[in-house]
Amino acid sequence: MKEFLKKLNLLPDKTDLKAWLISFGIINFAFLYHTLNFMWGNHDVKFIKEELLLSSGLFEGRFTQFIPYRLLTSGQILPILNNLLGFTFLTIGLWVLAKYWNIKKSLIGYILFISFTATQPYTLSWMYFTFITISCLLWTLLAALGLFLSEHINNSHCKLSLSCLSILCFYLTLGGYPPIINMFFVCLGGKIIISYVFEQKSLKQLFHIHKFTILNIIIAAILFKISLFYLPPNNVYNLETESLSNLPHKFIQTINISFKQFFITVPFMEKGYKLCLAIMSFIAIIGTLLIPSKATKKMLTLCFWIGTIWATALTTFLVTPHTEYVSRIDFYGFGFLYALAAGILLTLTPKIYQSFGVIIITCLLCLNILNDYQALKIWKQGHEAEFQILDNIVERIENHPQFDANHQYRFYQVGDISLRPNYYNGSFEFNDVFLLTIPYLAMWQGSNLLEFYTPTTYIDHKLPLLPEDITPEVYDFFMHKAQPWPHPNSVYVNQDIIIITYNQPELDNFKKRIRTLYP
Amino acid sequence: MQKHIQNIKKKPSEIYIWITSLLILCLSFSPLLLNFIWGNHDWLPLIKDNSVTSGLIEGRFSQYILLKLLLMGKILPILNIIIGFFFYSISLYCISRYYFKFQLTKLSTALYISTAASLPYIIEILYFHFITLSLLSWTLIITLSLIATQKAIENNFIPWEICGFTLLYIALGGYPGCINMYVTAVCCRLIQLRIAKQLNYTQLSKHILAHAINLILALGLLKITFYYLQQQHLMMNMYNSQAATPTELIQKLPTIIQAGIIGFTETQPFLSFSLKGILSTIFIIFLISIFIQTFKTNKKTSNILLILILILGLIISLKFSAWLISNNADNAFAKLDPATSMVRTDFYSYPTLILFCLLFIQEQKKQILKNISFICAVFLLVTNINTNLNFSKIHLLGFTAENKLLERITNRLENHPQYLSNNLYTIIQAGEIPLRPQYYQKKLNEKYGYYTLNTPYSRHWIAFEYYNFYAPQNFVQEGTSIKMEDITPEMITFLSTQMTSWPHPYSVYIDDKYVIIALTSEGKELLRNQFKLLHLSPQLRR
Repeated sequence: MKEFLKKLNLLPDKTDLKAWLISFGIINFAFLYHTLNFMWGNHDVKFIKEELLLSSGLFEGRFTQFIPYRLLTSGQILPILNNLLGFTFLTIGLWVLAKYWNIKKSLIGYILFISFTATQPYTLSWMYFTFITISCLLWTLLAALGLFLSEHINNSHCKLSLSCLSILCFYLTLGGYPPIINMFFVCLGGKIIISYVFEQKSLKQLFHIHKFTILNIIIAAILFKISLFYLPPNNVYNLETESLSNLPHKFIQTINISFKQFFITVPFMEKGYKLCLAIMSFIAIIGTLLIPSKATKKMLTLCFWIGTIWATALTTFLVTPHTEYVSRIDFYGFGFLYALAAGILLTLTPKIYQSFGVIIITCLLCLNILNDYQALKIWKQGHEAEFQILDNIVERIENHPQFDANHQYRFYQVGDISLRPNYYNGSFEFNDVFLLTIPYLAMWQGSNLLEFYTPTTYIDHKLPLLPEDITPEVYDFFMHKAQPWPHPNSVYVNQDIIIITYNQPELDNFKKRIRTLYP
Repeated sequence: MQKHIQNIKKKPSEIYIWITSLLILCLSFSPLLLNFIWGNHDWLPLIKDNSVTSGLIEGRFSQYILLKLLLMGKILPILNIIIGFFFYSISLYCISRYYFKFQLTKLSTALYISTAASLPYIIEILYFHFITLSLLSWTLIITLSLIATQKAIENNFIPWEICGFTLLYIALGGYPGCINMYVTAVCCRLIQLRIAKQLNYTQLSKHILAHAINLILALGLLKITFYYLQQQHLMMNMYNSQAATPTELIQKLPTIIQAGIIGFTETQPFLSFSLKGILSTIFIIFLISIFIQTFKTNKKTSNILLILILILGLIISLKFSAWLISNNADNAFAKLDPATSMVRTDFYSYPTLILFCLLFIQEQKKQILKNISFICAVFLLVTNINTNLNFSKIHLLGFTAENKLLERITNRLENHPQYLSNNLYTIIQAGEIPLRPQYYQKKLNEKYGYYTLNTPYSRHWIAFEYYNFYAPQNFVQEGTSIKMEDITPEMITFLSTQMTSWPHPYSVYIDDKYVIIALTSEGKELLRNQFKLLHLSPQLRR
């Protein structure tokens, strides 16, 4: 094993270990408030109480998503360990990436590269849902490893085993979260730029080295598609791919989107911060364009950059739903473009670039940490505020004269309340729901939430609200008396049903729906 | 000189071994360290501190000495547990290094000590804050006692023996169940001395004698202390102070041997089948290596017989405290928390045994056995961390849920039309609702788990402690029964006809003196029946 790693140049030396350890410390510090306060997202409610099964992700085609959880924590979502394991994988993945990109080795360089990339607010998007934190951060390690192994196939004697290993890495990650494909191509693009500019590789040489990477990714993608075919999942949003006829139009659209990403602001990534990132990226691009002496080479380098930037929106290009400016997808795309820019700045000569890189990346690292802490403070306040409402609702139900804890009620939640935005006063052009607005008390999770802390179980989870539940009395109540929380008429209990009204727009929708029963 | 320099060079790695085990313990229970969660006996001690004499009532005269010395009798968040972990991890390091005298130079040693330290037997100790520090510290006191006795044997020096005996007596005075650690460690050491060090019968009997004298003297003095405390009316004759008679000891022996063996397979909450499977595998590998070594060095029947007797002794030692206590003493808790399956006492035997087994196997020549035990230890460590974190998570969620329930009950009381804010009530709480089990996925064939999972944070007989805990002023007084002269017609109507379990409006009754809360239907029926007996008693009718 040791020999194998040594051959691959993957055996960490003292600098590597130190750099990893310090970076691991920095990322843990950046997200410490989350690690210490056990918060969970609206998909986690049931999984926190019960456990994750291998098959839990099958319904949306994510057949490998819970393998890491089953292997590492027996399917349990465990406080503290969840983040620790996730950060371990992420930081190791970034170290492998630094090796893959051949970033100039120095303790400070590696520390800055790993910790800057890992602490970007994109990482936050994997922390809202605790049930996928470990796996989605592990995919970065596997993807980086897949790319690293693929690169070494050309010069290796054991081509087949390396190919199999890298295909397995790509396949596992695609099976866990398909938008990881962004990372494959952004990192590959980054490698091509670095090889072309710094290592002076010709196009022919580049093709010889990287054909295996492309081939392995294609094989893994085919295997992924075949797996989906044999594991027929429900037709859900993340499996809807764009038709071939639409792709040319989508191509132009995604070029626009990919470049806009430099400037579009999302929660916790505001204008000044985005501008700093854009400046860093711009200088890295200029720096690489200045190295080649020939104009054709410069043009080719620019083309590689355009391709790499476009690859950050590859998922948006391939799938039907709108995935642009979504932080959890950008985590695998644009986040790695920033990493590439940082890596290049730390590698560029003359030294002035490196010094500038160290300064700007250090500043950005501080900004990352500030943004992360701001987000986590808001998350915690939102979490507490929403759960406080839940407590009050539980109390209201328990004190309701019609309520009988021994009875089984059909339950419906009209709308939801998202309170995280109440504590955020920043501005953004695109609202990324996972970072800010998605509620903890989600409408569809209402029944599980209501019973989360109660001693009795009184919700019939098998049956939803039935048409016959809308009796004239219920109809009259919702048409004329119902009001959103905290109005006394926001909680309705009769002998069969419990309905909680959270907000007016959803109450209006609900009225429309029940009006069809009594036109 | 060279030796001395070598020893100094070794020291950092040995400290590293101890620090690793301490860090693993802290990581395993980090949610408990960072969130202040307490058990159902802790409500009052949290506010009022523990005096040195607090444990006298059940004969635990030394229970609070360390708490008083180190934390002034206070239960302090983080410190309380971390000091306990500090002592516990040091004790496992010291017992390996200075009593079993294993060479602790390899990296695997850190793994073995960490694995033994993080075994989930510790979880029950962490439920009650008021005894966490002392229960964990007894492991160090016992270890020091063992080392002192060892020194006495090696140097023929009586003061060491006295020191060993005194330390053992102090530890037993804090928690008699910790005797398991002493006996288990002695049995392990005897096996080691016979097999690895090839001691002859005379040398071996010297070891047995020294340890037995300590044990008998400490137990004898403990009995005398109990007698004296009872004579002074300072101690109640409770379940944990009643010893078995000689006849009982003989009668119980097969049960205890059986319990010792079953202990490797019997699953309980947080002591899962996979965990027990790994423990059994390690123990079997240990037995195999003993027999390989025995057959290699001395095949005589008498020697094999001696080894078998020592192994039998080792199995008995795992449940030694259960063997010593009286059958009658266990009756009240027998169904919920039988002495032979008590996690709290197992904590003193199994980690010591597993640590010894792993270190013993490591010193054997058979590479395959070493490899298997190493892999077992890795899996065991991962299982331990996951189990402990799961316990911590469930502890946290259950505690939060029960506190939220208490909050809602208090709100209901405060909003009740009969409630007077300046009044002092006696609360009659009918039933208890433990909520931790809601967050635990119970596996098939799991038994017991009284303190690890099933006991509630609010016990009905100490309602005054937790209802007053967050109140601006005390509104509940000590007391759990209705006096006959206080019974009113309204109370009779409520108890006999209206009372319904929580959260029904008729789950709460308030008059001038009493608050009645019917929390569960079982509790409600029990209270109703008790009331019927009381109400219909001739004395009342008169």
